[in-house]
Amino acid sequence: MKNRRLKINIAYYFLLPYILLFLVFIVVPIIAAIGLGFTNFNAVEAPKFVGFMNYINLLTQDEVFMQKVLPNTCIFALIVGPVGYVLSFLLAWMLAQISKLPRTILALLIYSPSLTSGIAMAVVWKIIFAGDQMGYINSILIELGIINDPILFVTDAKYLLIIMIIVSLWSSMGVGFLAILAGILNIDTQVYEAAAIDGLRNRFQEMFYITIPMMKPQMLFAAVMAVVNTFSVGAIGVQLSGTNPTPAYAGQLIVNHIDDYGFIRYEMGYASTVSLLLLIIIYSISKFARKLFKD
Amino acid sequence: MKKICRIIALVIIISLVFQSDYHIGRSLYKNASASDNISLDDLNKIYLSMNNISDNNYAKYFSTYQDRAYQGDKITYPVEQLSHSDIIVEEAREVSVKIEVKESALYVVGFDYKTLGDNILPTKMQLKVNGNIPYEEARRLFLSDTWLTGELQHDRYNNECIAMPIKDKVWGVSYLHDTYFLYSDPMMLYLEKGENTLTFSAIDGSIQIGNLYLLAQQTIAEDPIESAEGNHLIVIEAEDITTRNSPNIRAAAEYNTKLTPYSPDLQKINNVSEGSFKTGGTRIEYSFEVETDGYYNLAFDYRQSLKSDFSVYRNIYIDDIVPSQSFKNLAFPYERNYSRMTAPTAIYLSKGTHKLSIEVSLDYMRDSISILREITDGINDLALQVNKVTGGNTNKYRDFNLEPYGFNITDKLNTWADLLDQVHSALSSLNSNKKNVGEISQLKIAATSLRRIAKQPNELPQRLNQFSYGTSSARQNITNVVENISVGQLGLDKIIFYQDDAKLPQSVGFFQSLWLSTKHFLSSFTRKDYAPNYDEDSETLQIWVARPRQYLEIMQRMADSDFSKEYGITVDLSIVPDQQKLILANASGKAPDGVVAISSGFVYDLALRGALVNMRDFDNFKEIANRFAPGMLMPGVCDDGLYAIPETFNFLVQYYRTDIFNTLGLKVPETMDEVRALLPELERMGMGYNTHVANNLVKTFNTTTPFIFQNGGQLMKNGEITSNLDSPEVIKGLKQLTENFTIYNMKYEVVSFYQAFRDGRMPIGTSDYATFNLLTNAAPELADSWAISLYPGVKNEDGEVLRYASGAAESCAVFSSSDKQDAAWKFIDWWTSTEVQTEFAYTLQSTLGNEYMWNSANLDAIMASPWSTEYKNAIMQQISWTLEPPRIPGSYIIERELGNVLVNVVTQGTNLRTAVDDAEKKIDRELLRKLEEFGYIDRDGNKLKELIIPDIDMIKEWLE
Repeated sequence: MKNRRLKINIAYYFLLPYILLFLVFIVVPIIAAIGLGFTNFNAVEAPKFVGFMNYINLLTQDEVFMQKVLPNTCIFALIVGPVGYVLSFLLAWMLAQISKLPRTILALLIYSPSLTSGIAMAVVWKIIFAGDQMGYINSILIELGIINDPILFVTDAKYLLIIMIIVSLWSSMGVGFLAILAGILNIDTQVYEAAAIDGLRNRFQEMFYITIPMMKPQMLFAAVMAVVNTFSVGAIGVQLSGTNPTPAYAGQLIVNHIDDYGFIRYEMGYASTVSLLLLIIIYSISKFARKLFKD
Repeated sequence: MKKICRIIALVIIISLVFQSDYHIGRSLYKNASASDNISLDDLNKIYLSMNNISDNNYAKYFSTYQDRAYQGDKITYPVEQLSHSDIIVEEAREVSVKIEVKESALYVVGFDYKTLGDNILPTKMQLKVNGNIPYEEARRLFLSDTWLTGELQHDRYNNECIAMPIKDKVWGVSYLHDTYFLYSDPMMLYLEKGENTLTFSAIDGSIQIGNLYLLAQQTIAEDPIESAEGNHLIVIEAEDITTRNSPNIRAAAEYNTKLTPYSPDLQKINNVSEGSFKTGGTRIEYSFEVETDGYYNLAFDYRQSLKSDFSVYRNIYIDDIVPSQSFKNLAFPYERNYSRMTAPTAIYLSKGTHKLSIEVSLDYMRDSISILREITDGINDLALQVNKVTGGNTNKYRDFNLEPYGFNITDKLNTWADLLDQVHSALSSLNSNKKNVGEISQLKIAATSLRRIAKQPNELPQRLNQFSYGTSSARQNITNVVENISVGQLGLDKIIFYQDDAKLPQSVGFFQSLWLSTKHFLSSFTRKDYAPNYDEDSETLQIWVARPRQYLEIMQRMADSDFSKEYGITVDLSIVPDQQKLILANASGKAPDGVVAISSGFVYDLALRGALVNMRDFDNFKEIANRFAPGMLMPGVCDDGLYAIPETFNFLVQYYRTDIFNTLGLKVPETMDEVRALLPELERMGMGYNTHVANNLVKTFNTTTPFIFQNGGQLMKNGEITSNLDSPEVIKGLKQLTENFTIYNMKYEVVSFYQAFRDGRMPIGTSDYATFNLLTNAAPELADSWAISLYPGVKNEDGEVLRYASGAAESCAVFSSSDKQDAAWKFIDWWTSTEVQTEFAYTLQSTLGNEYMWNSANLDAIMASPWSTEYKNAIMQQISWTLEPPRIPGSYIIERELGNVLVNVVTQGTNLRTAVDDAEKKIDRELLRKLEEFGYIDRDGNKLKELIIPDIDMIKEWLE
């Protein structure tokens, strides 16, 4: 009996660093955000309690949120999330087919964009999409005679969201991609051999009947990472267009909206409300992903 | 089978690659052989034989008269004979003197002079002979000023600070030199026998002239063959400058273990900064003591790392005379880190005090620069002419036949390409014939693109980007080389005179250097210079400054020596890298007492929430606020208080290229209507008009409000809390703004107006202070060929042109949480005063270089600032038109929605009325919400307290 209690204690000691960090950096801020969500706080004076005012405003008054931010975020997340996810699976699967040295090099190359921060990334893409004839894409299109006047890629509200999606896809091969790659490489080759003897006809059958079922945990991890990423990125639109809010709110995502209220309008209370909403969205979608990949 | 196919394909590809390579290689080889072994003298002949070079430059002048050079003794014309009073030459005032010449000949002309002006920019003068400019260079002659080195000072952290140069107004002798200093020998004048009139006038600065001299060209002694026997040693630390002729040459502190003195933790001034000692004609002088007569070797510890494989040249003078031929245009080869070089021959020095002068010489670059400039002018002209024919059409599928117009494109381009090769060959022969000298490699690139274009001359319209426009065009490549070779950077650590048996100082060894570097790295963890102090009970006044360290060093020094002495208050200045920190510091109760240089848009939000002190409560408020244009105070107004005063300002003016406007005979537009009338003219030649709206990605107030205010519009309805966007005036303004893009086809996004302006693609446009700084300091080839006019406005009913434009930049404020509010106010009073701002402007520009212009918001300080007089007047006029939009709670939504109107109309094609209605709805809703938050109205929209919307008249009333 005594012995067992000691064991539990030791386990807690090992958990302690994690619990501490989790409490300080995750739990406390979330509780603070929930609390601030019921107040009016301008970052200078003390917060004032306003009850559900912020929530009511969010649902009834915030035209920009309903007309622009929410649709933008949905379109962005629906495309970047699943497409990025499928892309990272396909790329990882293809990489798994080649020998080790080129695989390592290519994996590193594909992984590296996700490491670069929004600013570094936007600098590269800004030159490519620059809105005068000196921009690469404009220059090529003019050279080919397809257009005569440069297209304002990042300041024109028509194009901004599409460009944000392209850039985000380019950089979406992150940790999820590495997890999938590791998952695929981990599968015992004997399984494939056995399946071949049993009459598996081609690579795609292999992929659907063996590879995917064998690596569900990695698939789940990658899916959750993809969801969290697509909802929590926001810097790219602001970096590309150079302004928050983005021109005519064309590339405004929830994260930008929070930033707008928190640090431009100094309404920390309202910003907390919106971030809480974001938390709920992310949490419920990852729950959904978990359902999808658990038996 | 597959394998065979692959191999065949590979072979074909490889052979194709090789073939093209071979072609390129062969053509390069052919050209190289045609231009091998070109010397500098050949270049001069080539230049003089070029077509179309202007007849009245000095090179032509000299070649015409050179056989009639004067040979006799020096002739002196004492000042008493020339004039009965002092000869004082000032800006916009000509002074003539008459001299009697006995012999028609080419003379070196010298005169005694004393500088009188306080100008930082070099003194420039114009000279006419018998009423005419003898050659182009005489339009702007360069005169040396004398700058002494101020006393070495330490900052409060015990670092050595760059000493401020002090202008010394002493008599000296000057000869004629052009402003670029392409001739380090004095330029000469051909004077006929009889009476001649010399007319002087000043362009910058003012001088007093004394005796005049006519003399023969000086010859330089042959190199001595004696060697320096003995064991004497004289070491001069290069940073101990005795005098210099330009304040821009500066000593600097560098953590480089090769330098002396060196300290791992403290900043020590230990070298002449490499980037600062570069402009032609600038000179450093050292006085030194010699104990024994004899021959001495001369060695330099120098670094020349900015020009790869390319030498820079210096003239060395001992007591104003070049000791022997080796010291004229002494080469300093490329050296990446500090190392020692000994001059090829010894110098004889007698016992006593001597003066050593080191002068930047560009003699060897002269003809290359002249030839390259001719080529770029030619390219520019040709591009302009072609554009006149094509109307700027660059469509790939449009064919042009340019032959009938007689442009001779192929011949011209090939001639230019050959010239470029010759210049390249001459310059690389100076540098031990290296094949690829990085510094001038762009000449090869330019020659290649010119030859490529020459093959298909009719495609030139499509290839203007490779030819004349943009950063990678042939013209830009050549311009870059001209810029590179017309300066010669050189860093100096020590200058050593030594005899053969002397023991020379050695630099530190590898291990010691490693140890010192480690110590420096470790000390960086403990030193906290200029870091914010969060101690609330601190005795000293805490001021945060949102500026880089170089500025702070000077500000802190001025505060310590001047402010603290006068008021008995010690000030700590700290760097705030991020303004958001102010909000956070304020929220956590650690705000400073005052803040300087925060952006003006930031002030209102702090003031509205009660974080700042109302400056109108201070006694001498009026006196201080009157230092600024009333329109500039607007961003600091909240309710009926003023919470911030401006520190720096911005301005929107119209820049235009005088050369292009003169050639085309165009008139500079005064109003927006005239701008629109000018557009077709420009468009016809493939040129455009830049509006500052296109340079800002963020469509802030300063892009939209000028148009509204010029049309007489107001943002808010009088006495109400709703926006005024649907009033006819505002609609008119927004219509004017959007139609510029939708109907008049101005470019909506211009990434770099500066580049487009240099290319001549946009020879005119409105832009701000940043462009002014760039054009002044980073476009040397445009010097004298651009000008400033007022922002094009709108004519009102009385015929007056309204030119309202924004002008806010950075502000100063006092925090209400501070217990030293009066002291902080005193500091701001002191800091924004005319004397301090003027002193700061001069100190900044003279210690850190001309790029560090100071745009003080203090009106008198701008007038006194060291900027070129011709531009200052236009800027001052525009300042009186400064009008900032009033700030109210939620004014960010007005700013944002006005921007959205612009974006929606221009890029989405939305109808203007619809866009405005939409914006108005959003603005009004947000305003109600914000006004409720700040207690101006209650939930049902009833007024609780009056919302004051500030206007310019209200501010003017406060100031009376």
